Amino acid sequence: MRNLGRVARLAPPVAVLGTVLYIGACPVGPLPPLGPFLDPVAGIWSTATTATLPVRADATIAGLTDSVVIRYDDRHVPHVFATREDDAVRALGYVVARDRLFQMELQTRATDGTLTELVGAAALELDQQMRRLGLARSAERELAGLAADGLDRRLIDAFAAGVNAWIDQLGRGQLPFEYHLLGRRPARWQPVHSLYLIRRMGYTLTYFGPEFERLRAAKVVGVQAADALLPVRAPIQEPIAPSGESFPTFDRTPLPPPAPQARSTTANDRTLGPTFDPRRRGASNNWAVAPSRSASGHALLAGDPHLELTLPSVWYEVHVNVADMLDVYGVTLPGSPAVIIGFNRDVAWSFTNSQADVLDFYAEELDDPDDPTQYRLDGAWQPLERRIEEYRAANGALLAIDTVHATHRGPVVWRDGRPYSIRWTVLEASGAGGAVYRANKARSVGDWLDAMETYEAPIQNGLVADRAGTIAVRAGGWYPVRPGGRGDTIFDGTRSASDWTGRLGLDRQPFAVDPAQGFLASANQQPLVGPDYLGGDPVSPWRALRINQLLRSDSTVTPAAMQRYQLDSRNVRANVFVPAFLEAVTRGRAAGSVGSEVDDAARILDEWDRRYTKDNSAAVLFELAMRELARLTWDELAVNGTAQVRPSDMTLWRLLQDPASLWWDRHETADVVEQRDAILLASLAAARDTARARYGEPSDDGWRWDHAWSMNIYHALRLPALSALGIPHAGGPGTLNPLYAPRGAEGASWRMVVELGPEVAARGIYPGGQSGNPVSWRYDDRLPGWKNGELHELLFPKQSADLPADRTSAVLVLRPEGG
Amino acid sequence: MRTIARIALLAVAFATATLAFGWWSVAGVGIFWGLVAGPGRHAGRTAALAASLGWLVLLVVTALQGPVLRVADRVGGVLGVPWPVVVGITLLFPAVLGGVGAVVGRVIREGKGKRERGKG
Repeated sequence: MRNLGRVARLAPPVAVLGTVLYIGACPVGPLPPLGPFLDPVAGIWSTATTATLPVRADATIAGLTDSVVIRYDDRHVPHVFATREDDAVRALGYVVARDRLFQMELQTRATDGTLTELVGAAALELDQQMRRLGLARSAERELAGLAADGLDRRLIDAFAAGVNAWIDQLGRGQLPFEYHLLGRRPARWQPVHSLYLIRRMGYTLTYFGPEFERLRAAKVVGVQAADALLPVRAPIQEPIAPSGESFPTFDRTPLPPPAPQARSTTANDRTLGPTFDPRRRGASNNWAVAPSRSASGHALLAGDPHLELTLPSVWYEVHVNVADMLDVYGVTLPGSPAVIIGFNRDVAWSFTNSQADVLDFYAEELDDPDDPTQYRLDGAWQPLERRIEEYRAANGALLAIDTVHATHRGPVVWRDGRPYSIRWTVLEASGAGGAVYRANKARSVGDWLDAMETYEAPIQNGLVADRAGTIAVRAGGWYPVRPGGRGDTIFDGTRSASDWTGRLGLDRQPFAVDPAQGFLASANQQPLVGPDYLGGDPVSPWRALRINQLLRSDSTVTPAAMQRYQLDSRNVRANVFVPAFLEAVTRGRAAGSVGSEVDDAARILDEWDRRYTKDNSAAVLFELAMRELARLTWDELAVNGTAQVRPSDMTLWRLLQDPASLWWDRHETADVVEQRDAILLASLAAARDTARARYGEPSDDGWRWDHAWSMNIYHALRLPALSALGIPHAGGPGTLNPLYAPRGAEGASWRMVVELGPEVAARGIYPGGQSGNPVSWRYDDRLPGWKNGELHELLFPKQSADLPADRTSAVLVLRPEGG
Repeated sequence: MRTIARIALLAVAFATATLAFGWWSVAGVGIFWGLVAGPGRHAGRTAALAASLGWLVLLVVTALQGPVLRVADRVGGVLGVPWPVVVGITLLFPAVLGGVGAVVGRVIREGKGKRERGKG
């Protein structure tokens, strides 16, 4: 009995203690285990101690052959000085992991479809998409094909060794912030993870399905009209490769009318066919000026890739110096052993996406849609490649099982219950890392172009300039050649005759060197006016028109002017459309059909300088008017009031040339036949009403551009508290300094201007900071400068001792074992 | 004065144990304290106060090396609570762990004492 009494007295406090220990050790809901999380020595609080790098640090790394000195400048850029390339790359892996370890793991898992193991079931859909596409398996195939002692393999092995050296040395209290939040430990870095990066970028830049859009449009308005609405050849041409002809050119031929059935069926009856993933909006600018048109007589180059802006940034700035072998500065993707965009002592380069069509869809016939094992090809059944994918939670629990299929062309994806196999250069390309690394060493434009000859995907407009004054651009890579030429259609998967027949030769790829005009520019516009099909989804050339306009009008370009151009907020798109609105109002006034509201709106547009400055009130009205104009014009392509296909503004411009086109007539007003001016006036009136309803009166500052639209830079885990949201921005859709609707999450991810004089002088900035630690002031220290349009001087010391002491913030020495 | 000294020494013990073994050792120190503390009903409260103080000292030491308030602000932002709540929970957690541990230790000690008195 006495024992029972003792137990009874002991039980309550032991139960409470057990409960507290359980809460301390196990995750509760979305929270990490509280004990290790709150631990002031090794928990989340310890991230304060790694917010600033120690002024002096030493570490030993296995595999190094000689010491490597890394000096961080006052912008926290590591300058890596090594005597051997392998050592430099190993050190690069170490320093990038030191700042960006969590980001590296997150992007790796986002590519191989194992995010659920880090963040839980919320990421299941993303993981399933990635595993079905097979980006990681494609990287593994490339890895298996690399020669063990070849450059590509040596680079990624050395980089992985550097990353893992950092992971192995991580002590208690050195884990990055997000690992504490998630209650996880870092996974080891594998060499193949470096090969993921280019594929992930390929996914971002080329995984589009305009074929489906064209198909849907054709079903409603007919093939001929669909071809005109979504043209393979852009109606406004300002190509990246000047051909000696006069540009820009404008195709004013009238659009063919919609097929009769588009006007006879009601919107709700339409069946448009499968949809594809929404388009992403990333884009980029780059341009170069020959010595003949620069104030200093030296070549100039500018680049600003427009990608999703994140914290930490997609880029990491670095300088790598290997005596007499490599001396390169620029931005790398964390995980890559090479500088992607940057310069060395002789050459500078930058990239924009070419919008080339490198992905095709094949409608397949499977033996059993519910559990397929074979696909039909040339009348015979062929075995499908099948693989079982398991998705697991952080604790190892099985979340889902998926069967992934592939034909000889590539993975099978499903749209509206129909199977399509895809062939995509991004899944088959190889050697990108080595090509870019060799380009890092180029001594001239010719060297650089030679190095990049083996680069395959994603196809980029590679712009390059050198100290000798040569400038060149090449949209180089793997362009598939299809039967019939064009690739903007869904191919018949049951015939092997639908398969690709080859590659476009280098001599037929868009290329220009030292053009007579003295400058080159690319902004994702159609690269070439030529006979070959390169892509069927051209981007509207507003940015290209603007930069060409600026460069044509300035024969003494300076780096400061290049910086101004990068920040330019004038919109050629507004130059094209605002006069159309105003002329319609003038004609409407004459006809007595314009009310005071439209008059008021026209006055605002008329007084506008067409710049997207933060405090202007007209850009908001213009954007709303453009949205209304598209909605009212393309009503034939809407289902239940929602646009299913949205032709580009280029097509809308072309339609403006034809005031009586049937496209202007609104389907829902059966007793009236609208023409162009009626739609323009209605758009303007609706825009004004919407603006007033949303933002109040224009006189109240509510229509200020920076009140209505802003930039949002999200943390990699989309945590608002770690993000920079609602950033005022002087730019909009179609300006050189862009802001893309609706999330405002894409923009100039890196701005760089390089002057290739006797000594290379460069300036640059990206939004965010070098550190991935949200507690560090280096996490977002560059954001104010980026917002203000500043460019920072990029220090490029020739040797370690050349970095001034007062501009050195930290030193890290890596030594070989036993060294 | 003796009470203050006792709490200070105990806080050092909690801090040292956390530093050496991790958060869970707070419970161990608490139990130990409950076992060895003299008679009375304050073992739990003393341990709770000292554990909290021990972690506060560790936080102050961390603050000397980096921006602790920024950590609190970031974590508070992520969890949707003001930063003082994050600090408060951090100090409350060892208090509960150490305090309850001490109560467990005291109950064990008292049970043992009664047993010995019963034998005597």
